[in-house]
Parts: sequence; C-alpha cells; structure tokens
Amino acid sequence: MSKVNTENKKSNAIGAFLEQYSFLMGIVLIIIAWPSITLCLRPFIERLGDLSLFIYNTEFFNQKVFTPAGTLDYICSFLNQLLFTPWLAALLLITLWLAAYALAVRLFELKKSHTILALVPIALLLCTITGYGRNIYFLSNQNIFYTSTIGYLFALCIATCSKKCSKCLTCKLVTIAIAGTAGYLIAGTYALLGLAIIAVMSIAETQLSVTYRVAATGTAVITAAIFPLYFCKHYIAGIEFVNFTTYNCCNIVPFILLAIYTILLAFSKQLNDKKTVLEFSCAIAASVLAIILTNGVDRQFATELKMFQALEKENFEEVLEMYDDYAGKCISANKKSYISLKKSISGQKRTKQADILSGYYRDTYKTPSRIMSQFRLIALGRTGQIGSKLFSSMTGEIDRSSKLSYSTMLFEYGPTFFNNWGVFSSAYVWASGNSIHSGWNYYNLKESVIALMLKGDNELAGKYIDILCATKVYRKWAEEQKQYIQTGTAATNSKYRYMQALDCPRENQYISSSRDIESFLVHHFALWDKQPEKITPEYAECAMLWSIYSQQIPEFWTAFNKYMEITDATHIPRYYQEAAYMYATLEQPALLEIFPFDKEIANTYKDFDRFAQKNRQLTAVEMRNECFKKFGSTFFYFYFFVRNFL
Amino acid sequence: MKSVRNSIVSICLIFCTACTNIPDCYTDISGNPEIFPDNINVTIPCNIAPLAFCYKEQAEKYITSISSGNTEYIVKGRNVVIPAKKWNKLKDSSNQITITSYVQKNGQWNAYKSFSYFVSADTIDKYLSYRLIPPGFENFNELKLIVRDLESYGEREFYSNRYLQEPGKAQCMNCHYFRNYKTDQMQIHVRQYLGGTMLFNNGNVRKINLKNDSTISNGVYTAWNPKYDYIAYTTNSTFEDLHNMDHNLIEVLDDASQLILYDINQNTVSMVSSNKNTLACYPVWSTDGKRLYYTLSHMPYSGSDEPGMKTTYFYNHSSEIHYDLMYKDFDPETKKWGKEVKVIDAAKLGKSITLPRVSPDGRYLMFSMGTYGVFHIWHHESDLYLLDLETGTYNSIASINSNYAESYHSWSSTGNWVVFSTRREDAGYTRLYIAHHNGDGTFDKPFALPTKNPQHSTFLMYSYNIPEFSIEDIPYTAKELAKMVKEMSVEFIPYHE
Repeated sequence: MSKVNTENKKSNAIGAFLEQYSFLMGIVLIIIAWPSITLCLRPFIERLGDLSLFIYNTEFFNQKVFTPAGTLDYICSFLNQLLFTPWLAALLLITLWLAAYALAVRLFELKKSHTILALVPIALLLCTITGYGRNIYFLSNQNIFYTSTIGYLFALCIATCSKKCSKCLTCKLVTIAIAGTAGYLIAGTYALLGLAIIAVMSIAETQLSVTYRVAATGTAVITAAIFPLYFCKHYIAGIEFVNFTTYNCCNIVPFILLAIYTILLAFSKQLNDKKTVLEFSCAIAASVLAIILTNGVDRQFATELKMFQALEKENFEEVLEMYDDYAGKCISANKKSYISLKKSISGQKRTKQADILSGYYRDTYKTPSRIMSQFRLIALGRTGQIGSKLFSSMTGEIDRSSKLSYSTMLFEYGPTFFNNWGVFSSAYVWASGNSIHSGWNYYNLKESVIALMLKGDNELAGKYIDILCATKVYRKWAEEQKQYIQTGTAATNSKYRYMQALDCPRENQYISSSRDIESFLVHHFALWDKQPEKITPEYAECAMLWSIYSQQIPEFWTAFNKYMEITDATHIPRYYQEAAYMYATLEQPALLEIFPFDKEIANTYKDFDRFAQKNRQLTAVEMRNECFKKFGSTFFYFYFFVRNFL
Repeated sequence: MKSVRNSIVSICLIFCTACTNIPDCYTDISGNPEIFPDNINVTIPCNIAPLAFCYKEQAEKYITSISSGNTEYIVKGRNVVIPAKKWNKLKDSSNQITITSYVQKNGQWNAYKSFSYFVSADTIDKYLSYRLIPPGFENFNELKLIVRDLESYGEREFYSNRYLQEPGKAQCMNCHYFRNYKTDQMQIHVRQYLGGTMLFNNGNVRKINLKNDSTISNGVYTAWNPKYDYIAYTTNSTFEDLHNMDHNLIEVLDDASQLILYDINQNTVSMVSSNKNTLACYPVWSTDGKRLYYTLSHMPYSGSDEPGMKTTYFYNHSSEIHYDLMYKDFDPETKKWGKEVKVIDAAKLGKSITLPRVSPDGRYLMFSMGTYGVFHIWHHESDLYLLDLETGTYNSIASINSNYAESYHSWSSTGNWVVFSTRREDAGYTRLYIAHHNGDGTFDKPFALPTKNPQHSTFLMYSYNIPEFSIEDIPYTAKELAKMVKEMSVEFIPYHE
C-alpha cells in the first residue's frame, strides 16, 4: 500500500513538474541544440553551403519560383548563404524551431504538461537534415537545411489560418481551398501536410456540427488530392529524394514520421492526463529512435567532410593527422574483431577458417575510405612527402567499395580530385556533368573556373566567373580569379602553381570517364605509353606514386629513372627505395650493387623475406595478419598482400 | 494659387526630363561601346522582337538614345531594354535605328560613336524551334523542345522528357524536323525509354522505328523530301569521348552509319548507301526533291570485330575522318538512285564537311566545315561555308564566322535569313545568331537571338540545339505530345530491297 502511495506521489510530482516546466524545457532543449549543431555539424553545414547557390538576378528568381514549392526553394536558397557562417545558420534554424514549437503548442492547444510533445517534430526536423548523409550529393536540389523547417512552419501557419476562420463556414472553406492551392505552389508537399492537419483537426472538433466538420475535412482532402494531381501531376514537391538511378534510395522516413506525428498531435485534445508520463516517455523514445535510425552517424562521412575542409584551406598536416587518426582507430577495431573472429572459428577446419577470414578481409575489414585516401595522397603530394609517408598509415587493406564506372566519390569530389591532379578536362567534365544531376552550385562553379582557367579556356571560365560575381558569397573570390586571368598571374597562387605543374604537355589522348579514379590516375601518370616528354619534379613524384600503386615493375622503373633525372634528390625517399630494392631483388639483382640503398631498407626486406619463409605453414590470411603486425607500413606488405587494387 | 500650381508642375516636368536628358557636356569617343551581345551594325527583320543589350564596361551612369526618323527613346541604366510598343514605333519610323551611348565615368560623360540596327523589309519566319540541352559529357537530365515566337519573347515548351522520364528510365529526344516549314508534317525522335520516331503527317500521327536486321539503328538525321512522300534518314552508331589536351573538349564520332529511305506511302524502308568502309551522314534534299545531298567519309576498317575494337580504332584515327560532300540523283517514280557524285573533296583539303542545307531557292548550299570529324559544335575551328550550286564555287562566310565553332544552321522559308549555332560568346555554350542573306551569297553581320534580359545568355546553363524555322506554331502542347509518346505503340517498318 505504501509502495503504491509512493509511486502515486512520484507520478504526481513528475506530473506537476511537467505541468509547470514542460514548455520551458522544450525551449531550453532547442536552445541547447544550437551549440551542438554548430560544433558537431559544422563541416556538414559548410559543405551544404558550397552545394547551394543563390544569384541576385531575375533569371534565378524566374527559374526557381515558377514551379511547385518554388517559393520555398527560393527562400531557402537565399538563407543558405548563412551556411558559410555555421553558428549564424544554426541560430536561424533554432529560432525557426522555437517558432514552430510555440506555434504547434498554440495550434494544437496542448495542455501545459503535454507541451513537450511538440518537441518531437523538432527532433524529426533535425533528422530530415542529418539523415541524408552522403546522399546529399545525389539530390537534385541540396536545399535541405531550412526547407523542412520552413515547410513545417508553413503547414502550421495554414492550419492556424484555417482555425482562425472557424466561426464562418464559408470563410473557412474558402481559406482552406486558397491556402491549399496557393500553398502547394508556394511550399509543395508541406501545404498538403497543412491540409491534412486541418482535416484531422476538423474531425477532432467535437463541439462543432457534423456538417461543419465534414465540409471542412472534405474541402481539405479534395484540395489536397485534386489540385496537385491536376495541375502538377505529382504530390512530392519541396522534399528532396535521391533520384540517381544506381543509388536509388531516399530519406523519406523522418518526413513520414513528421507527418504522422504532427497529425497525431492534432488529436492531442483527446489525450488522457493520467498517461502523461508514459506518453512523454514514448515520445522521447520515439524521437531518439528516429534520430538513431535515420541520422546516419557516419564517422567516415564526417571525417571526409573535415578532411575536405582542411584541404580547401591548405592545412595539409591536418589532413594527414585526421587520416592517421582514423586509420589508427580502424587498426584497433580490426585487431579486436580479428581476435574475436579467430576465437569463434577456432573449432572449425582450417580450410573453412581460411574462407571465413578471407571473407572478413573482403567484407568487414575497416579501412579509411577511398575519398580519405585521395585527400591524403593529395596532401602528401603538396607537402612533398609521398616518398617518405606513402604507406605509413596502412590499415592492411584498401577500401574496395563502389568500383562502378560512375563512382560515388566522383559525384562527391570528382572535380576537386581531378583539379588537384592537374587533369583539368576531367575536372570540368565532372563539374558540369554533376551539375546536370544536382544543379549548378558554388562548388561546381568554382571548380569549373579553376579547371578552365588553368587549362587556358579563359572565355568559358569567364562565364562562370560572371555568374559567381552575381553572388554575394563568392563575389570576392570570383573577382580574384578574374584578376588572375586578366594579368596571367594564376601561377602566383601556390595551389594553382602546383596543379599546373602536374599538367605537363603531352600528346592528346582520349580519356574516357568510365574508369574509377585510381585506375585513371595510374594510367594517366604511369601506364600510358604517351607520357609527357618534359616533366616537372611535381609530376615526377606523382608518377612515382601511381607507378608504385600500379604494382607494375617496368612502369615503376620508367618513373624511377625519370624521377632520378628530374630531382636533385641527395637521398631517395624510403618507399621509392623499398620498391626499387624489392623489384631489383626480384628481377635485376645487379642493381642492388649499384644503387645506394639505405641499410635499413635492405635489412627490412631481408627480415620480411625471412618472416615469409619461416611462416610458410600459415594460411594466406594468417600470414597476412601476422605480417601486417611487423611489416604493415612497408611497400613489401602492400605489394604482396594488397593485390588487384585496380 | 494657379501660378503656384503651374510652377510646381513645371518644376516636376523639368526634374523628370532632366533625369533622362542626354547630357549637355560630353567627350566624343571614336569607337563603339562594348556591348553584350555584340549587335553593333546588324541587319534585323522588320518583324523581330526588340533587341536588348547591356554595357560591358563598369561606369557610374549610362544613358542610351535610340532614334529612328522622328522617334526617339531614351533609356537609363546598364541594361538597355526597349518596350515592344516603342520598338515597333522605331522600326516603323525608318529603316535605320540609331543608338548613341553616353557613359559617365569619374563624373565625366563620354559619348561613343553611334551604331545602328538596319531594319530590313524582309520578314523572318514567326517561329523558331530548338532543343535546350546542358552541354555535358554523356549525361543528360531534363531536355526540352521549345518553340519561340520571334516577334516577341514568347517561348513555349512543346515537349520535355521530364513528363515521362523515371529513375532508371532515361529518355532523350531530338531532331525535330518540319517539312517545308510547316508543322502539319513534322517529326521528332524520342530515344531510349518509350523511344520511337513520332511522325506527324497531315493529322495522322504514328510512332515508327526504322531499325531492322539491315539497319544499324532507328533513323537519326532526317531529310523529308519537299515534293515527294519520302524521308531520307541516316542510321548511326555514335559514341563520344573526352580529350585530355585538345582545346576541343569532347569528340563525337560515328563508327558506322548508313543512308536509308523511308517510303511513307509504301511504308517500307530501303537502303541508299551502306558500306562498312564508309560513313554517310546529314542528308538534305534539293528543292525539287530529285537530288539528295549528304556527307560521306571513307574509313576502311579491317580490324577485329570484338566489341570496342572498332571504336578504339576510330578514336585513334579520328583526325583521319574526313567527310566529303556528295549527292545522288533520285527518280521519285521508280525509286532508283543515280551514281554517287562528289561535290567537294574535303578530305583532299584535310577538312571535313557536315550539315549541308540547301537554300529555299535552290541556288545555294550552306555547310559547316572543320578539320575532321562529324560533330562540329565541339570543334572550335569549324566555320560556315556557302556553295553556289550554279557555279560550283564555295567560300567561307567571313561575316558570319567567329573564332569559335559555328555549326548547325537553318534557312528561313524565304531564304532571306539564316539561323545558326555558335559558341562565340564563351566558347562553351551554344547560342543562336541570325544573319540576313542579301540574295547574292553575301550575309550581313548576325545578331543574337533577342532576349528580354540581355544577360540571359550569361546565366543560361543550357545550350541551344537544332534551331529550325517554321511558319506555323506546333499544334500540340507538351502534355499532348507526352501522352502520344507514352500511349502509342511502336510500328516497326519493314525493310525492302
């Protein structure tokens, strides 16, 4: 009896606390989200900024506004300019959330103790932004930061307007029809959400007559059903889904939950006071679950974004540190999972064990992504550390995901990669090609300017410069590029100087875009027979890098000879020595006497060879794992255990 | 009281007129202003929409005086846009519209040398159709076919692939063609998803496919006989790739092509030219319908038939692909063809001819010529040439050509105007320019397709493609055409020897 009394007392206390502070708690939680979003999502916000565009002219306005949800799109494109100042962008978002929270409480007449329930749609709005993950690159419109929030607010506003006309049925019906039709043109599917709220609230208004409720609900439903279908032939406008054919997925879950939950809130008047705590708990649990399921807490994606930002700012050491850090975590994780996997299969036959372990390396082995590797290689090239650090952070395997002809990484960063490797034609083709799917944005325009300017196509570069000059965000940058073109001084910029150094004149060739980038770069720098006659030291380094990656001995020697010719290196970097030593050992032992290899290189190779001989009884996978522990950061390991790279 | 009111009105009037008055003090500058687009001293049709332009230079103030006869119109601002009513008045006043530009820099007014629009009494066809396509490499997304009213800025989409395209089911469309500039007989190719050739023939609409065991593909480049019920097509196996160093970014080549004839009445297709060592392209009929001009390249291939080998061979020898201008005479009664005759041996000159088009009076043939290849919009060096069919001489049309690609072109129904594709503005995006033909093989300076916003071209991220004049509007809406494309089933046309 006393236990029941204690529980009742507790429940009453919680109920009283919620009654008093529920609304305030909601506000506090939203405000707390501001620094969290700014800090945790900063690279994502900045990237979204780069993937947007706003041009101050009537052409842009006309292009945007005169389609369903066009006004919403235009407003969000304008607000996206704030994304370049993440704290300000997050502040506006929080402000809009507070407005949506307050409006929802008012519209649905939530009881004081229930106001916290209006927080759930806010959590879902956050999911609509973060849940896309790397799918943002495959959207036809990357205006995702503000669209769902402003759209949701618009839906609440439509419902509020309709509620204010409750006294006169005719006024209400006209308001519903106009709000629905004009609303759909302004905000697309969000207007349909507003109509759904109106319909549900009309049903839930038990104090009104049946005729009233049926008329209001019917008008809302008919407007929502007929207008979009008749005029626009579709109901989805203003919500972005991935539509690229190969990666046909969408981030629809948070939107569906948002719609369902908001409509359920319209029934809030029917909520029973006694179940407040349970409802509150369920609501919070549901929102947390939604965040977890749809958020895509993708460390890999987040790290790539940070590395890209660091690369853009030319903080190359930071790029390398981030890669090393990520690789270190992969190695630790792989160690643990390998040990536990070995334990779990210890009773099985050796051949079966070998199969399982092969599968482990192929399918579940953690390794930095190909995008991270590209950023790292670019940073190594820019800092002249290819030869000394190429395999220093190996995890034992290379990311072999998505080796499709149009791989995701080229949609995400193709123009950046190709520009940084001095392949300007491909950079421009990828920038303009990506724009066909996702529209032109600051990023594609900027990379196009760089590619065309460094290629010498100044007229076409000028077109994109003129477009960027009509923006606020990139006007200054565009004016600087214009100066470079007019004065012919692009080479005074160290980044451009490096890129141009890689663009050594060569016989023209056709370069299909159907290869993945690694194969392309190997061919471009190492395997094609029509290499440039005169090369720069920077090109020579890249040729060394990609000839090593090619694992082709003749191509390595060609690049090595050119490297020795071009550079005045008094000391050959470690990994070039390792490759040369190993290849010489395998095919031209006489060279071992001629080249001044470091003793350490020779000793390491001998140790490696001895190790391999000693452990011949191990399976290939076991050998690999054991070898990685001792020789994982050597070229020898790469050559023998990371095969079929291309 | 009355005098006070009058004074106030006078002051207001003075104020208003002072704002748009030509400056009293200015320095004369000998050259013309730099404007975009460059419509300085161009000849325009009497029924064209207003030409707008903007000043390229940065200045504090701009005043433009536009006068014709006794009519004058003053425009303030960098963008010079003339309302339609004023424009018509100017055109009607005299056959020369004079534009004088006053530009203020550092507080000082400068007056540039005046330039003119010469108003020709020759009218231009009211409608111009074209495709808008992003200039990408292999990729495409939304494509539109637009019909434009040249007497205004009005544009209407008469087909778009967005009506029917779905994820995983891409659709391309092109090669809209109007027989004798009318739209009661026209055709459009739709490719890939729901593909077929939409043939509109005096109210009868069919969706046909000319692909059979003897043809490489469905029909591609089209030539509808102006007098007889035949349509010549090419069939093509086309591919494209990217240059790594060449200034011409992209190369589009055929590794196989044929010339076929579709007999509309018999509903059969027959071969005109098919040889594995030749590539035939771009058919066009003479005005009497008894001669078919086309381009032909000799490209012998004796290599492996493995997939991709022939394509690789053609890429490696792309600079050796030269198309000559040919013709064959045709008897419409017997459907017999005469011998193949070479008109211009472009290969000997180290050049390649594409896109021959015969003028409506039958006297001239305009073509594009570049150093090699079959797709010249990607060739900076390609220019337009005019062949006099009576004398057999041809010349580069210097008044039309620029330092960048000139390619697809189309004569107006009277032969007084030519519209052509050019990349002169930025070397990357195709724009349309219109030039006046003086009737004697000479052309006046071309003007850019008029747009209300003179900077439209800068911000348009599409290229214009396949401009074709017509004297009638397209009698279908985009939705109607989409419905036809979707619902009609394809009729495969049988081959007949």
